[in-house]
Amino acid sequence: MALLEMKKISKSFGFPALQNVDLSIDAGDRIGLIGPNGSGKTTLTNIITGLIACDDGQVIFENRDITKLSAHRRSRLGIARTFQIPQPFYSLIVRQNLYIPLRCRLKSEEAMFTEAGRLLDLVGLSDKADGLPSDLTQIEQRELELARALALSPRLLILDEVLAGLTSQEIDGALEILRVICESGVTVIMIEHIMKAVMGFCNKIVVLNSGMKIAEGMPEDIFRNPEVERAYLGE
Amino acid sequence: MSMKRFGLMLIILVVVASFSMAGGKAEGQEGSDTEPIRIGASLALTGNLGSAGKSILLAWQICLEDWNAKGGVLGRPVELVYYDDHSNASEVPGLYTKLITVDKVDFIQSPYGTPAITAAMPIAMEHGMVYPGNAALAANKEFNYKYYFSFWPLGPRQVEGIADLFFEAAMSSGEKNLTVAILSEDNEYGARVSEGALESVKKYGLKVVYNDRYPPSPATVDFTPVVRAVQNTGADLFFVGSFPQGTISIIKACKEVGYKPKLFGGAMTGVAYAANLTELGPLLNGVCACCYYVPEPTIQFGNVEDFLETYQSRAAVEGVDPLGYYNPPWAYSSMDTLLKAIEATGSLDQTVVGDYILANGWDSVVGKGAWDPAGSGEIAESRGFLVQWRGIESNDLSEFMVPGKQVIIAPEEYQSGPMLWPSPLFED
Amino acid sequence: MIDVILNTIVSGILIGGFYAACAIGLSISFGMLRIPNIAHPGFIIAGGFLTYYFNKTFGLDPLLAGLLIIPIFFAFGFLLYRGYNRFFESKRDEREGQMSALVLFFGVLMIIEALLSVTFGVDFRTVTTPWSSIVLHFGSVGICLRMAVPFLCSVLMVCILYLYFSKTYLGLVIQAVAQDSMAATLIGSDPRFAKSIAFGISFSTAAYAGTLFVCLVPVEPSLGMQFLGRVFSIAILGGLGSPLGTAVAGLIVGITESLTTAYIGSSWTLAVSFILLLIIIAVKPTGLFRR
Repeated sequence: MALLEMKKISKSFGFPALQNVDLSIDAGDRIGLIGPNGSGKTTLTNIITGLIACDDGQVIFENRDITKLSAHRRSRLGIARTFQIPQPFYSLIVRQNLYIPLRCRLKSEEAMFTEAGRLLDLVGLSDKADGLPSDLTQIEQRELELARALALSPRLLILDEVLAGLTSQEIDGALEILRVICESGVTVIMIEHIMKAVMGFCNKIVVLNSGMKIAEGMPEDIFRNPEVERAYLGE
Repeated sequence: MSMKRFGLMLIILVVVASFSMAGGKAEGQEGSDTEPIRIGASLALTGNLGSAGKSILLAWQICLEDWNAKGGVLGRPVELVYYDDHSNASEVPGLYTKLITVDKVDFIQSPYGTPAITAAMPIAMEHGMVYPGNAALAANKEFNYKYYFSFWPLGPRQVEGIADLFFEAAMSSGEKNLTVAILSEDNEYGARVSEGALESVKKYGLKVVYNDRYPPSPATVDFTPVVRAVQNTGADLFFVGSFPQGTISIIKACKEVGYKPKLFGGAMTGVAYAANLTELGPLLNGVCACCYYVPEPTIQFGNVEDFLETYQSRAAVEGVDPLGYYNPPWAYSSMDTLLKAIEATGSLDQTVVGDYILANGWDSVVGKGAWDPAGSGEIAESRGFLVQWRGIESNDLSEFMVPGKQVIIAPEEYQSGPMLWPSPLFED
Repeated sequence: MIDVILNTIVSGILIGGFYAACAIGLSISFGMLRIPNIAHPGFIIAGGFLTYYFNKTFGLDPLLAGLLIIPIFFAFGFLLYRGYNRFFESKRDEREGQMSALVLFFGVLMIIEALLSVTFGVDFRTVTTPWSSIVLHFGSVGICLRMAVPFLCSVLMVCILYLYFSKTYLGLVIQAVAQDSMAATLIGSDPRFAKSIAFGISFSTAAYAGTLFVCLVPVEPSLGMQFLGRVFSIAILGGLGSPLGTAVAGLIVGITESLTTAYIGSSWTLAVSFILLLIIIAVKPTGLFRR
């Protein structure tokens, strides 16, 4: 049974941003969503999270039609995402940044405190829990971003270029964390340009170009696909 | 649900707004076969001068009703065409141009207050209209308009006259070497008050130890610092030229910081309004201010009591100032004098009516008199006097409707009791 | 000499606290929610008149009457935001939305003034209580309760708001939504609800600031329009969106005005405090307390 199903999604901003995109993601998948700039990856993400509404088509999450559901309700159902440029709440301390999503599922201050501690420990920020986000490094801010998304206890986690700008050693460390997350039962969609990481991490790859899905399949098959090559390298 | 509610709210707000901002309203006798004589004016019916404007409107309405009950003027009913200028003098010229050129009223009355009256003066002059003024200070100083007639009791000496009364009273105490603090609101009125006070102080050979202007309300919310600065100079006489909010706040601040000058007040406006009198109550004890009517036996102006009786019975119903001691008698007289001139000359010609008023002076419920021979348009002799409150025991309005509590201490011709010296300020 | 300085500073502190109460709601609506609610001072005056009404009609202590009108204002602000969101915020991009909102709220300000004039008349109204005229003396410093009680209420209001925004869950959500509405939405916060609450709170502070206003000095309907400049400048000076910053800004303006009045002359009061504002904004464009 599919965790997330997208049927014939179309969206136009005056130009067609997405055309008849079908996508089916099973629980436990590690999807790599790739494509050149402007191919519709961000639009697709925004339609999944509910930030924008699609013109046509259906979004089904865990057998429930969520096409018309608002973004915050979808996130409470377990759809989370991170941003490429971290967007922490600067006036709240690190721990309080996590309280906002945690409150959606936990009621007591004590439980929130414990769970926040566990998540910060997972991403390696436990010693910064009482500091302000502005005192974190860029990478630590990204870790906070990840912890904040995980605080929703998501079923589906969309990662928007979490690895950009990291050294290969740091990438390995980050992928290690992501594997732990996946093993805990979270389905991941990863938007990424670093192909080595995508190949190593994902079990399935979806390629978008000019608003259309041009390929879908196992990583090794995808990179043998001539159409993908054309999209990436040009004619 | 919330959207519907919002929509409904918007509709209500728009309806109310358009209602309250609606244009001119004409009132008068209907069903008469003769064309009414129309008098036009703008008035401050809302905004910070609204209470004055509303009381003037009521006085005019009473005046027109009186005339219409007698069969009108020249056998024709009289009608009032008026607009709300929102206490904003910059709206006034446009409204008067409209009254004269579009509404084509037969005569005009001035708006309320110095800034508005000054603003409409060029319009009145341009069209050669007779221009009866309702409560302005020396509005004609720069214009010297022949047909401006100021229905305001201060006379040619204007505010300087108030200062004279105040310092004359202080001098009558016989005490020597008195020091003076002058504080006034930073507007046209305050400027004139301060100027006049300085002139007057010089005349009596007193020493000024403080002279400043405070920013008009609501820029000044707290008056304790300024009053404390005055207190710190130890001035014996504290002369104040304030608008109503300042008046109330300065009196309270004096009480709070414990400043008790020997004589306090002078040109504080707003003390003729019931709302302010009842607000202050016993705090007024010992305070002095210039008034134009109080129920003291020495005041015998025309048939002002009869007018006030009518006014007070109507004001209670219409929710305007229930006392009417300040503007209403003069506003009535302003309208009444104009209508009398029309009736007497049998003419609607501005020059004929204007010349008649100029020659025959003013004559109505406030009594009668001539115009300043120097041509300022003011009345020939001041009718202002200085009141010192005493024996006020409560905040009840009835305190201010009986003789003996608002004693006239200057000038001599109206004096109804001795000055209390030094002022027993704020004592119950 | 020293007595005068002390008394002057105390006066400045007392009035400064009241200024903070007036500006704090604007700091929330303009600073946190980016809604240029220039009708805020109008609602302050409306709160003052309602307090006056409850006091005169039912003989309620104004401070108590103020508490009673808070829920009314809260509900009004809550619903007004819903409408604003529906018709302005969600339909236009932020800048365009703010411009049209300026026009909207200017209209609201005029309407409030008109409604108050029609309902309560245009006279100056004030509430006098048994405690109004009491003056307490601490050595040479005299403190009048008419000034001190509004000050204490303002301090209390600032403290409550500070704790609310920094300690309660909804307060945190409001802060989060204010900073990054999209990010907050994606972690389960309903931005419309959070902003409605915040706007309701903003209106509640306006109501109570009105209560304090009418205890302090006489008010009349058009005062809101005239009070606009000062309220805005204090909110900006404090660093929009910061309750503590607003409080400090209020105190700075209050003390500056008070000292200027006493030592330079009251005609300079406005000029000096606005020059001070310009200098602070030039040196620290985000205001005193923004992070």
